[in-house]
Amino acid sequence: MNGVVARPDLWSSFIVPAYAITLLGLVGLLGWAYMSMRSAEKRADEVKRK
Amino acid sequence: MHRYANPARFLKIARVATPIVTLLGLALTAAGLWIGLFASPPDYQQGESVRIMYVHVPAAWLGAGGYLSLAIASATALIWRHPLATIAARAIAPAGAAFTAICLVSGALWGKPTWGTYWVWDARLTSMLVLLFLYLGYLALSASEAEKGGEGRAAAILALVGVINLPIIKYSVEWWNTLHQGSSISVVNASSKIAPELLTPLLLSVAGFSFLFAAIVLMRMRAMLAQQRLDARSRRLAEALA
Repeated sequence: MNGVVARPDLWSSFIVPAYAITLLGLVGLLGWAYMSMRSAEKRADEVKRK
Repeated sequence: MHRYANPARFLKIARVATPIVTLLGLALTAAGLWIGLFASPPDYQQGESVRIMYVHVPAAWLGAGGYLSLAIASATALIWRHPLATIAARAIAPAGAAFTAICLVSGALWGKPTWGTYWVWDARLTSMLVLLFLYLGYLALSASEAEKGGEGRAAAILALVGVINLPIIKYSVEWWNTLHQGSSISVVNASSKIAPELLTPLLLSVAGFSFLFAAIVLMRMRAMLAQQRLDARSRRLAEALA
């Protein structure tokens, strides 16, 4: 329309997605590392007690 | 250094350090990102999109810094054949790959409003993509070697060869004409071109991400050491039964 291009909203199009992806990645990685550590140490302790 | 590289001594220290490092990482990251999002002013040129810097720059530094520590651990494993060094390298790789991926995605989301495009085959962007491929190659090779009971020598050599990419990443913005801006912070000269209002949340995020990176590495190392204890016990049991 008359050569006018609407600029996307910076917050909803770029800033929030960048933070969301980063936080999801960090929480996911931390959660995976914690769960794998807990389960491996639990299994090792159980076997040690037997 | 060898004193602390003893697995039993390492575990003793790691059990105390893991919760402290994790909590410090979470607190500093939350503070840095909160200030970066809501309390710091927009940039006079880039406006609001500068807020992506508070996730992009720490992820980029840890992606590259993580690779350097992966290479140091690999060199230690190759030279001194210390088993803890191989475990450290294997623990660093997934964290480094994830931070590099976060850097690339957040960079694309920063590039669109700043340059008008998500991706361009620019020297800095391409060398960071190569870094991600090096991490993925290391992960695949070390998993395959671990499955066959190997010491991870081929993966360690790959990690060392890939170090050549680090100076290319660092100096890509000086050696070639790139869309990516030059460095704004000099660690060597302890100087910065960034205004203090923007630098404070950035440094908080860098510190927070670094502690989280360390926490992930400590947790992965503890998991792998526990798995090694399990495997050793299973082998002893099988030998006793045979």
